Amino acid sequence: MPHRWGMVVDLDRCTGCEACVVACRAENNVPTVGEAEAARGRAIHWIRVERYVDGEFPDVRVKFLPVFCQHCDAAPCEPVCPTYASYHTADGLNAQVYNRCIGTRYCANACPYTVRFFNFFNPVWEKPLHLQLNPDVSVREVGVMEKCTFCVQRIKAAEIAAKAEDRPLRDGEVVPACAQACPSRALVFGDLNDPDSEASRLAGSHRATHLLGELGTQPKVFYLQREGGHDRQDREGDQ
Amino acid sequence: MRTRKAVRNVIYGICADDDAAASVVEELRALDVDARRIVVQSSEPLEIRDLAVPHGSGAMPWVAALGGLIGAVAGFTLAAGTQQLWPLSTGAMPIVTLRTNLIITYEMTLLGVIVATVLCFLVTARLPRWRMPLDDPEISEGAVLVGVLSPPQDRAHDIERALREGGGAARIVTCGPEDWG
Amino acid sequence: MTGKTAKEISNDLLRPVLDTSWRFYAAAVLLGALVVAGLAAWGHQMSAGIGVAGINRPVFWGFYITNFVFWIGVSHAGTLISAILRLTHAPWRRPVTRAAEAITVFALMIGAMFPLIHLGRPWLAFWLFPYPSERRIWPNVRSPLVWDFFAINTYLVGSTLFLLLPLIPDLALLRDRARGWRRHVYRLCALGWAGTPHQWRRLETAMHIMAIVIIPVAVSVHTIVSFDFAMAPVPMWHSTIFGPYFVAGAIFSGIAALIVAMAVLRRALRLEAYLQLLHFESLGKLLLLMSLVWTYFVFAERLTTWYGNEPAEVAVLFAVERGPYAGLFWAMVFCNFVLPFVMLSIKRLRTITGTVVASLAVLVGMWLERFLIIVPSLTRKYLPYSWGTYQPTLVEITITAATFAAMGLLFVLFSKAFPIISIWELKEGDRRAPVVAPGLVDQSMVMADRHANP
Repeated sequence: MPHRWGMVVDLDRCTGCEACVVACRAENNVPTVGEAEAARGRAIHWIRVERYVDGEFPDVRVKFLPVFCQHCDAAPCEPVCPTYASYHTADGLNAQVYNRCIGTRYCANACPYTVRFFNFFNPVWEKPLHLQLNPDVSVREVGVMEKCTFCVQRIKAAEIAAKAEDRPLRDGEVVPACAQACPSRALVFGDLNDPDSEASRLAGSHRATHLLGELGTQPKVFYLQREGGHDRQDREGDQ
Repeated sequence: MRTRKAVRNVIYGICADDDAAASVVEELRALDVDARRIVVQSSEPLEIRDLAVPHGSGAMPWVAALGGLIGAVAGFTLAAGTQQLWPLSTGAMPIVTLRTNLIITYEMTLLGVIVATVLCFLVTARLPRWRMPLDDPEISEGAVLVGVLSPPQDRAHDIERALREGGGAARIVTCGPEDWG
Repeated sequence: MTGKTAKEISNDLLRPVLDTSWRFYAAAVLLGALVVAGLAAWGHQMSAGIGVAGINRPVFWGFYITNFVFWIGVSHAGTLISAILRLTHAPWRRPVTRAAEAITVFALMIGAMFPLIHLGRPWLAFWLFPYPSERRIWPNVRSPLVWDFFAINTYLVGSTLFLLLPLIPDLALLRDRARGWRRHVYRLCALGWAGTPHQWRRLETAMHIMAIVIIPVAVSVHTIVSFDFAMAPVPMWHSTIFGPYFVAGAIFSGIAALIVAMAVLRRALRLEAYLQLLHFESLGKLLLLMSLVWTYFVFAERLTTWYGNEPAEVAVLFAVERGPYAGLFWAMVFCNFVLPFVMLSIKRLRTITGTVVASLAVLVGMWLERFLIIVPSLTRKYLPYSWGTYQPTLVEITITAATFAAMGLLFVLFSKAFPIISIWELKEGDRRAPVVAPGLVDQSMVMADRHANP
C-alpha cells in the first residue's frame, strides 16, 4: 500500500513561536526577499503562523493557526496548471515540479489557502549565507512557483535508508523540518494509511477538522481545535 | 505587367453592365458556342448568377462538414490520447476527463470546418493561379467582360458580331492568355 | 445607399491606399513610438524579472490579465457582429464589416500577447503548445489555459480568414490600380482572382459557411476566457453566470470599439459619404441593447451573491461596492449603463458625436469591469490573514498604453495597405438597393438584399 503522507496540527499546543517558520526556511532554501519586497507582499514562507484575536478586550483569546500547503486530495491548484508542474504523486503529495513551471500563477490563484509562493525576482543569498544552502533542495529561479513539499527530500532519504536495510518505514522516521523544530510538539507528521501511526490516531480525534473543509478540497492536514469551553471556564474560575 | 501574348485564342468584349453582359451571353448561346468556353469576369458579383456557368449546388458544405468531423476526431484523440500517454493525476480528477475534452473537441471541430471551407474555396475557385488571368483595366471600373476561349476559327466573325450587337459591347479585344479554362 | 457610381466608389475608397499623406506618417510614428516604449518595458520586465510589475501575493493577476480579457472582449466586435449582420442581411452592414473584422484580428493578436507577457518565464511559453517535445510531456488539457490556447487559436485562424476572403476581390482591384512595386505585391496577394461568376459563387458560399461557424467560435472564446476564472474556487469567480456574462460584455465592448474606430476612419480618411449617421445609429442601438443586457447580468450576479450571504463572497461584494474599489465600481456603472442609456435612448442625442461619446465611455467602463472582476476577488480570498492589495507599476501602465497604441498602429497600417471598406460589397449593395436618405432603412431594401443572398 502506498504511503499517504499527512500532518496533524494541534492548536491547543501551538504557542505561535514561529520556530517552524525558521526551520522551514533553513531546510528548504526558502529565499529572503528583503524588507521592501516583503512590504509589497512578495515574502516567501512555506509555513506561516496566522494570528486571530477572538472577542472584545479584556475577554480576548488569541488563536495561532500554522498554515502551509494542505496537500489536498482534490487540489484546486493541480488541474489548472497547463504544464503539469503541479500534480499529485502516488503517495499523495501535491508536487510542484519547478522545471516544468512557466509561471502562469494560476495555481496560486486557485489555491484557497494562499500557500503558494512566487519568485518575482531571481533569489540571492548574500555571502556567506550561500554556505548554509541545503544541498538536498534545489533553489528556484525567477518566475517559478514554490510551496511546502512536506520536506520531500527527507521522505525520500528515509525511504532510501529503509530500503537499504530492507525493512518498511517506521512511524516517526520521517520528520519534516517544521515538526522537528516545534518545541511544543504541535505538529505531527505521518502516514495516514498506517492506522497505527501517531498522525492517523490524532486525525481520528473528535477535535480534528479541516481548514476550509466546506470547499471540499480534501486536505491531508488536520487541525485539532482548541477546547474553547474548557479554557473559558478556567478563566471564569479565576475571578 | 499585363501579359498579352500571342493574339490567338480568345475574343472578348467589354459590356457596360450585367444586363448587357447577359444579353451577350444569350447571343453566344444562340450561336451554339460551348458554354464552358464562355468567360464572364466582373469586379462585383453579378445578379444574373448562371451567366455562362451551369448552376451547381456545390460540395462546399459537405467538405466543411467533413473537415469538422476530422477536426473533432483529431481534437478528441489529442486530448484523450495525451492524457493516457502521460497519466498524471491532478485534483482527484479521472485520467481521461470527458467534460474538459469536449472543449478541445469543440474547438478543433470548428477549426476543421473553417480550414476545410477555405481550402475547398481555394480549390474550387482555382486559386491561387500565378499567371495573370484574362484581364482588362475596365473590369475594375465596373464593366463586365464577356469572352469566348479558343473560338473556332470559322466562327470568329459570328462571335464578334454577337459581342457587338447582343449587348453592345463597347470594345472588342482579341488576345491569348497564357492559361485559361 | 451612397448614391455614387461604381467608379466614384473605387476612387474614394482606394484613395487612402494609393495616396499617402503626412498624416499617415505622423500617426504611424507617434503610435509606433508608444509601441516601442511598450516593447522596451516588456524587455525590461523579462531581464529584471516579472517582479517589476505590481502583482504580489495574493493578487497574482493584475493589469496584464485585465488587458487580456479586455482585448479578447473587444475582438468580439468584429467577426461576430459582421457574421450576424451578414447572416441577417442587414443592408447597412456593407461599409462596416471590414473595419469590424480588422478590429477582431488585431484585438486578438494584442490580447493573445498578454498570456505571454504575464508569464513568469515567458521564454518557455511554447510549453503550452501541444507538440511532441524533448520534454516527453504534453500540456495538461484539463487546464483552462490550454482551452484558451485552442479557443484563441481557432478564433484567430477563423477571423483572419474571414477578413482575408472578402478582401481578395478588392486586392484584384488594387492590382489593377496600383503602380510600381506595390502592384507586384497586390498581384501576389490577389492570388490571380478573375471575378468569374463561378468564383463569386464560391466566395459567397465560403463566406456564408464561415459566417455561420464563426459565431459559435466567438461565443466559445469568451466563454473559455471566463472559465479561467470560473474554474477556480475564488470568491465571486466561481460562478456559473460567467460564460454568458463575459460574452455579453465582450460584444458590448466590441461594438463600442467598432463605433470609435469608424468615427476615426470617417474623419481621417474622409469617408463621410460612406459611414453615415445610419451606421452610427444602427450600431448605437445595438450598443444600447448590449448595455441593458450587461446591466441585467451585473444585477443578477450581485443580487444572488448578496442574497446568498456567503461570507467570503460578500467580503468581495462589499469591497467592490462600498470598499476600496467603490470609486471604480460606480464609475463603471456610470460609463456602462447611465451614460450610454441616456445618450443612446434619446433620439436627439443619438448623433454621431453622441454614439462616439457613449462608446468611449463604454470602453473605459468595460476595462474597469474586467479589472473589478479579477483583482478584488484576489485581494479577499478565504483566509483574512492573507488579504492584500494591488497597485500597478509604471511598467504595467506603459505596456497597457502601448497596446492601445498597437491597436491604432495596426489599424493605420491596415487602412493604408487595404481598402478599409469592402468595395465590391458596397457596389453590390448600391446596385441592388434604391438610393435612400441616410437614416432610413425600408423594407424593400431588406428584401432586395435578401434576394441577392439566397
